[in-house]
Amino acid sequence: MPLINPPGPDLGPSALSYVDAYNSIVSRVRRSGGSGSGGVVIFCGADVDGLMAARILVALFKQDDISYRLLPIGSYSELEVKRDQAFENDEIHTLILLSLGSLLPLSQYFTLPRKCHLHIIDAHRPWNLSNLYGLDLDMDDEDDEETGGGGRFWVWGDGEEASLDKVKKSWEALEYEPSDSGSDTEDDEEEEEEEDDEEEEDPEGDNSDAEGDSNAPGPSRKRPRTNSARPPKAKKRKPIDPDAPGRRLTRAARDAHHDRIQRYYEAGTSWGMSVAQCVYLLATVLERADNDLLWFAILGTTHQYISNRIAMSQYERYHELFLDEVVRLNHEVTPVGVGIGRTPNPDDRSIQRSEEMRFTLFRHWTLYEAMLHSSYVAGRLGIWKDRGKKKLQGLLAKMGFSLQQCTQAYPHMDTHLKRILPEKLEAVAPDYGLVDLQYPSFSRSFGFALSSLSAADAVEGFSALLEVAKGQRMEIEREGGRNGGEWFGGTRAWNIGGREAAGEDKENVNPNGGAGAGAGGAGADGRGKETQDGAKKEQNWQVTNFWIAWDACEDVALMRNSLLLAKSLHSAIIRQGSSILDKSSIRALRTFRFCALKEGPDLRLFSHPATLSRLALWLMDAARDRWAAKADKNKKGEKDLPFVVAALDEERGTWLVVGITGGMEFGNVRKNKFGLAFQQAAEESGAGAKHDMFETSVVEVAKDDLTAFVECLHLRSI
Amino acid sequence: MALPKHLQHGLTPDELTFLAEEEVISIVPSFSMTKIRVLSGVYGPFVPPSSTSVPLWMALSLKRKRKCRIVAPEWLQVERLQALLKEEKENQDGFNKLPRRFIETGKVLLDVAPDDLHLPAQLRSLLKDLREVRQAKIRLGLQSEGVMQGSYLQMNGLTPLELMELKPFLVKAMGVLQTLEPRKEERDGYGASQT
Repeated sequence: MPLINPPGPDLGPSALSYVDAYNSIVSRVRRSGGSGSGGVVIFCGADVDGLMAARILVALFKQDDISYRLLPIGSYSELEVKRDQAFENDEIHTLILLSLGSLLPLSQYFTLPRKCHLHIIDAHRPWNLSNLYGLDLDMDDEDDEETGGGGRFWVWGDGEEASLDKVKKSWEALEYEPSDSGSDTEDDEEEEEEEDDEEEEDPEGDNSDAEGDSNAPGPSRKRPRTNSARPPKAKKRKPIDPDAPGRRLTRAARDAHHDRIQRYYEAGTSWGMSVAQCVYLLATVLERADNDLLWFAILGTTHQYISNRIAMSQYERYHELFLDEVVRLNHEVTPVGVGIGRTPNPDDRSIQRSEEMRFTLFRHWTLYEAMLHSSYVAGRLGIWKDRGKKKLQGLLAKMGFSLQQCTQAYPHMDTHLKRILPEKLEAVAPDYGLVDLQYPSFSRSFGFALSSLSAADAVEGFSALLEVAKGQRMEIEREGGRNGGEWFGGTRAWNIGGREAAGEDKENVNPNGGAGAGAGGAGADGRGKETQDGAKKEQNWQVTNFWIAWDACEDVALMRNSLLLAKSLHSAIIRQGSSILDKSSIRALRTFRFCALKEGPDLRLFSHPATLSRLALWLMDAARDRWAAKADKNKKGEKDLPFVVAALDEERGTWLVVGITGGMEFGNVRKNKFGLAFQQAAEESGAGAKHDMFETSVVEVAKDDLTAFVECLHLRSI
Repeated sequence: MALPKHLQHGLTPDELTFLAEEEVISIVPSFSMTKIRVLSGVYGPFVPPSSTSVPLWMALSLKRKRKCRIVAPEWLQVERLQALLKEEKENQDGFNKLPRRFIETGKVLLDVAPDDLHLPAQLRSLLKDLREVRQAKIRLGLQSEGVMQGSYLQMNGLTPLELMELKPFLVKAMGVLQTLEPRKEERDGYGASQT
């Protein structure tokens, strides 16, 4: 499996880089004659990163006249279905996986037809080691020369794989060691590999059978733990250096290797370079980078930062790179003040550097609301209580902003207030414990339609579209309504203007007749498909949402509307979060904190993993200080317990459980060990659990099994 | 004719744009290629950074794929357009001679390649001004003697797009005016004073 590196000056001459992979795709397309669009198939994970990466890749393909098929995929079960469908088509010669599949043992999961190559670009870590270091030799493949005999699975790394040297040695040692079944042949590596491969199948098979999940056929096949060693037989142990070269490994050496690999997997999940950024690097090397592609890449990375997947230091490193690109592609670079927008210019599509504040969507909301809804501020000031709200008002007053101004929509605030906002915040906020309110980011203008959209806001918009564009009933505020007082404004149902619903629109039926004036007359057709089975509906909403978000990349009006949706989604999350904190329904168990959501007006929203994760993140940020204070008092030293949230999905009779590990400070990230923990807990408690999502820290548990599941989870030490 | 009624009068703006794309424009390619032979002729060789002349349709297609940079035609500059506008305003009696396809070419270049043009926003507004001045003159001309008598309209110097724009209306109007007029002419005979 060729592991290719990002293009860089320090690559050795034989090392493959992104360009080689891309050129191989292009040459295969040219060779196969372009007889249809079945040749190149792209599977894309349904998240913001995948969406952005797909956009960039598709732009490159279009410029090269490569026809492709793009399929958004939401879960493992969908992946299986789509994979089988794709392989039925004979013409397929390239399969590309974006933002999914890093933990799958690819050569077993995808039995590629002849001549088919697979490329995987994924930001989920850890990689399944057999993908990185395994060899997949296909004797028939005449393309072997171009990959240097490396095989058909191209793994697009982000340069960090070099640090996994030791793990690599262990894995190779275990993989290629002479077999134990008595034969003495150690010379031919290939033979050994084949034997080892065969023997590997069985432990994996045994593993999966032993899991015994009832709910889904999927989980057994995608246990990520590759037990690449046979179970150790009890023999005498000698302390030995595992790396010493030797013909045959002793038990101890094998154990040491095995441990190292286990430690690698058990360290938890983390995130590498965003997929969009990888593809953008490819575009730069091909010298086809332009503002649109750069913007998508920026959004991919900003999304990682905002959802707390990468730490501030890493984000800043990427930011520097992006800044160079922005300067290169946009010549009139005048840094934009935080508060002020640019004068609109119809042809302006440029990206500028801007300082972004940690208030969500503050440019499109009122300043007061934005501060109220941001997790950072909320935590420090304790917003959900009245006392906290008074504190916030005090803060604003101290800065010299009248409350009336702050409850105006942001674009209508006085310009001099907007100008002085950042400095005042710097000056006054530390008194309330709010530091570090700004971080560097970018903003883009879209002609007259939207004079300046910051990266963070765009990411919020896209996430909202991906989560709730269709399939949930959302209410959004009428624009400009609230300022007239209590009697004006109000809400209208969210409606994608002018779009035919895929039939599940019973939920989108607009109760207040002509309220959809702004959204346009989309016939909200009430023809719900009565025979929907839950799974089909789920797939449909993820796929539909993906395509809606896809359109929003180009369509500025849709982008603007999505911001409204994002606002109401945020409000819903905060409402739920505040009520949880108010009722103090978070229990601190020994190894983690736990909260179960059984009721509430917005409970339906939280049956989507992304929304639930956001809620968990918000709660974590908001309550971090309180917990730290409490822990100090009790001197138990459990400041940084991970956090598990469960939400009841009444329709399907399951609980959706999400686990996150927060950092000690705001902006710290740690590896998330819940993937493994959930699996083990599910095993031990015998709960009917489904690990269908690409994020391993999300699991669905059958309704009645939750307590057993949580107990088992509790008993393990994470 | 087999075309539907609303298409029988002439060409639509899309068709006119299609025809306008035959015009030759120069580009600076970002790839290298020898001369190529396509149905409409031989173009090339493409050697960056020197410029080549290709038809507009090819230039646009390459530009959309980011494979070239379009060199703005000589008349599509701010100062030149301002001068043309001034002359057009001063000439009350007729239409100035302008590049034949300036409207279509201008629109298409501003849509596909605004980054290769200098000050595209101003260009857009200047082009619009030019068009409106000429339209005003057309409107005035429609009230002239010749039209009122259903006999002729002076149209020197109009571009094909403006002609096509005018044609359906004018043909119908002239027809109506002619039916109103002929009795008078028969009575007074030809060469009588025009009233």
